[in-house]
Amino acid sequence: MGEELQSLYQRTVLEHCRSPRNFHAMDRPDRMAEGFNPLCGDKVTVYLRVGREGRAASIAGISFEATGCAICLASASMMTELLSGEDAREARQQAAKVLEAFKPGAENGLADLGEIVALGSVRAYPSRIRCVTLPWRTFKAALDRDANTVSTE
Amino acid sequence: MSRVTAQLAEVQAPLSAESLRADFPSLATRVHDKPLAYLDNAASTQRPQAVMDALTEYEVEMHANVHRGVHARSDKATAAFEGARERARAWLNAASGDELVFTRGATESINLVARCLDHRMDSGSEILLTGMEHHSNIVPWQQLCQRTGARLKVAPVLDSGALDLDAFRGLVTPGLGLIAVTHVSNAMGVINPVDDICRMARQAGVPVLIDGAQAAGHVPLDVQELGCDFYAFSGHKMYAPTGIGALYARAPWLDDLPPFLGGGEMILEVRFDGTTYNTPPHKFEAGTPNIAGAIALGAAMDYLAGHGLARLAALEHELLEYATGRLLDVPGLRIIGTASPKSAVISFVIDGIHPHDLGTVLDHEGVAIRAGHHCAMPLMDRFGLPGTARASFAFYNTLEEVDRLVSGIGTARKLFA
Repeated sequence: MGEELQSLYQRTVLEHCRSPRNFHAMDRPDRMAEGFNPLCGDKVTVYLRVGREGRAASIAGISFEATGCAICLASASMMTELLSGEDAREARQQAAKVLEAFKPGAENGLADLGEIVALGSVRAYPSRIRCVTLPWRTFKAALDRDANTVSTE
Repeated sequence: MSRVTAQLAEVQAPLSAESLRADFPSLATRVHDKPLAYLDNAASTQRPQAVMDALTEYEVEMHANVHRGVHARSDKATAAFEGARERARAWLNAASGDELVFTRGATESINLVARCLDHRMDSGSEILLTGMEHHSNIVPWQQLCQRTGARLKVAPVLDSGALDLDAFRGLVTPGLGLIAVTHVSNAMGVINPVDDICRMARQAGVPVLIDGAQAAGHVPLDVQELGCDFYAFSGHKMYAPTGIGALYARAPWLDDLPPFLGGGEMILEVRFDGTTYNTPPHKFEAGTPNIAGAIALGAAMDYLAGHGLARLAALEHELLEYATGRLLDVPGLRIIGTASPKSAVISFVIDGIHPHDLGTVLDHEGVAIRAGHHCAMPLMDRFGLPGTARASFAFYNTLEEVDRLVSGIGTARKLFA
């Protein structure tokens, strides 16, 4: 197996794919959203429990369900680990950073974003970028209470 | 010219993929520093040098507008363009070249029919499809239903991927507005019994449209023998460029249907108080057509006819048999669409490996396949799958490329074990 492929499917990615974290439905979530990739038929559902302390909101609980490829599952799993317990405003910014980093021609701004850096190689595969971004877009929609199904198109 | 001379070669010298590959320069390229094994032919085929030469010859020797000029180049271009129509006529064995409308492809061909049938549909009308249709043979009919109040009926697909012909027969009732069915399933390769379907339709007096996108260039065809009303196909799935295809429609239909698009070419006389439309097929070809594409499509048909479609199809069948056997030996692999007869398309899923990941791993081995729902989401739902991996073969593929596919699947199984 070539180096490129090993760099795409790093051990961290495969490990998250084999045993994804927070991979379950949530009983009575405060917010949830569904995301869909019409290219491959993959689906992600993100569940949120939002905590409140005074004016500040936080991600008190986050989980997901998905039918997706290894890249999509790993991205979702890493996302829940990174954002769990995070201040809501901070979490929204982190999601925006990830989405920005996977735009065509963008700088690889994935440092300080936890294990998601392991997915940086996907940037070289235009047809697979949506696999990474789908969970993050779905998270944003859940947080923003966007009722529509998120689509990668 | 009969189908025999159009589609079967006179010469019967043995053919091999190895000798045919030399005609396709793109097959000699490399991907990820590995020789390309192009197994995505159901999505689009590669072009032979003869097609590219025809394009170059057209651009250099004759490009000008057709049916308009009073100069030599325009005459040459018109003759070549109409010559391509005659080749398409012969290819399908249509009764007249006037029954062939050039379009952008099968999708536009189907849309042309769907857009022009409003006057024959109302809230009591029904259109019969099958559960294995490509989105392009579903959505135009849904749009027709939205405009007219007509309703869709869908004939089910069996677990084998075959059309449930008994159920289909039960749904063919007199008064049905139209039957629209694919000749070959793009997602599974299963070949539908279009002869039986057209016979049932004739008996019930129902018009039939066949979506031939996946059949043209792989399956011998004679529209008169078949007795269909419409046959839609694309050039790029039969070794011609993208952006060209055709609609065959029996002559009375093209007289009856209103024009599809308005513009130049489709008119005889335009005045502000009224326009007289041109005769078919020009009535349906508004604007300057894809002249180069049509000529290249003719060249692709010449190429296929020169080798004999039946002999090329035999090579593809050998690939299908070999690949099916090798894939069934892979632990955890399941083929979707096991019915017979089949075109050389194999859709499959593997336990624990998502088709998208498999596609990427294979790409690194130089093996190009398709992963996803193949624009047939209702069929994927039928099998409870978000998508499949699909290897689809053309006569220029080799048994060694099948071995590379299987070996690449082995690599993916190790990676995701």
